[in-house]
Amino acid sequence: MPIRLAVALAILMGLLAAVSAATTITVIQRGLALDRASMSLATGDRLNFTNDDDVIHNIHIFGPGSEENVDLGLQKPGKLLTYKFDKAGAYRVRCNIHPSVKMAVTVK
Amino acid sequence: MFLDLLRRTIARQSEARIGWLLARPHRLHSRSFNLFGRDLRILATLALLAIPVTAGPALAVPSFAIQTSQPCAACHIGAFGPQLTPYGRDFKLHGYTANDGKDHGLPLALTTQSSFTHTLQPQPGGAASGFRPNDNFAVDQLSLYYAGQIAPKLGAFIELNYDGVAQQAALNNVDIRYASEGQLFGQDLLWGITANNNPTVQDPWNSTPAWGFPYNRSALAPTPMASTLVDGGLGQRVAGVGVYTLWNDLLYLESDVYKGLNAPTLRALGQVPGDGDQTAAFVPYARVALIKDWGSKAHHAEIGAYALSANVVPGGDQTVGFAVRKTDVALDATYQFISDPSKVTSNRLSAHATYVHETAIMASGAPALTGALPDHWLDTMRFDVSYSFAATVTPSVQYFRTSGTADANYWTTPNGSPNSDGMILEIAYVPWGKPDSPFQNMNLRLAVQYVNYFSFDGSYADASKNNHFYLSLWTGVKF
Repeated sequence: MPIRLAVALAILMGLLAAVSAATTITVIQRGLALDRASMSLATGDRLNFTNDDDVIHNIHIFGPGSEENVDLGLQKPGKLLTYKFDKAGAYRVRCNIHPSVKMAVTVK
Repeated sequence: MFLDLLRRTIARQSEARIGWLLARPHRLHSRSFNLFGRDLRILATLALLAIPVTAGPALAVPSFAIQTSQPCAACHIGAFGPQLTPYGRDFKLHGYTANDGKDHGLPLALTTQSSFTHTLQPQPGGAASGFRPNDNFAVDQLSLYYAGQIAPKLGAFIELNYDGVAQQAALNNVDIRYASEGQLFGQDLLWGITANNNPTVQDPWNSTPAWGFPYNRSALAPTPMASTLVDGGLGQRVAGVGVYTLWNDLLYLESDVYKGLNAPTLRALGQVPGDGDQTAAFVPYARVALIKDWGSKAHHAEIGAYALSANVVPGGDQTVGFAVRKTDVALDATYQFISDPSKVTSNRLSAHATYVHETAIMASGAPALTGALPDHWLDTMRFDVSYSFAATVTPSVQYFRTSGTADANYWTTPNGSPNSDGMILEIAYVPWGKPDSPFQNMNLRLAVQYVNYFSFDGSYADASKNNHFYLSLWTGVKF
């Protein structure tokens, strides 16, 4: 019984460690620009995108394959959009409405 | 033909409100307006044109706003076109294709311009055919636009308009673009193809002639007779195609070639062949600009140059049909300051400058027959500053100057001098076009402009008689 308990605790601790290893980073969208041009993430990390402007934005994530993309939709002022990067590879993030709002993301 | 198209399209879209006016084109023909008589009905109709037709955002070209879900102020300084913000330039450079992902139907829009002009002294014989010598109301323009995305990476700005002063319907500015993106030397590269009919209409900076200040002006006030070729001389009289690139948000390069349209084509498009410079030749045009944004995009600066060269027969029988080789070389600069880039209603300062140097060489044999000098030069300089308060009230001031070779056998001015200079003062009021505007499908711009000449067509003594007030109402409505 003590052995089983120890194994269960070890698995639980492992899971907790795995969960806490994934991080969430906030990217600020302000002045028709993202606050960083590029960044590196680990698989499973999540990005939160703010809209600190007073106009509608959009977040569209392209990658990692050439045909893969996810459109997170329109983003009204103040709304938060979030995306978890589950696959390794190179991504491009941009606003379909504002072509200058863009960044590169590398997931390892 | 275009008037019929304009009339049919508008009548289909909003027959109940404006159909009666456009179904009776004689109501819009140029003539003096009696403010206190039946012409009140026309003014009332202009007001009706500004009534919301359907829901959705709008601006000077409302279909752009609809396509992007952005208010007018996102693209335009002062919340009304054509002065562009950084985003407005981006949208244009990306081929008018940026969008919110929704289907908004055909990108059609309608604008109207109506005005009152008072000159310091009456113009004997009338300000124009059918108008009084002074104090004239006019329907300056009714314009129908196809403005927006055609296909992914392909968009267009196409304007058909009816000129209420000249009583002429015509194909106005056209700019059809394909744009794409890539990388060069590890940096972003935007490139595109433009097909247009007016050198500089494709330019994203308001320091070049086609979209430069003033953004509208009286068609019923005297204007100096001398202007350079690139300063609208070829507008709607040529057709061309060009390639442009923007590398690393730093270097803009463009090269175009235009071909002059022949007289039957010009007539078919609503132009009067003899009214302006005519050319049947190819016209090369080149443009270079360096740009820099800094301070979290609060500051934008551009410095550039553009040039074209063409063999033309000047309009108005100026050279009795002899050709002139005109070469224009120009410098321009833009500076914009945005007090808070996160708010499209933040205060904005804009300054533009342009200097054009033109050389004109007459065809061999022409000087002997006309008595004119073989070579002439003409310089144009303009500098304007505006400050937009909350994208609502925008005062502007401009100094302009034209000077050149005096020649009584070349210029049709009283003393043979093409020199003019003066200032323009303007204040514009735009109530809507902001994120919280109550009317999301329309906008209007009310402006008062005063043009003051220090010299006019070579004369200082009589220059002030051409000074004028111009009160204009500009409305934009989406379909």
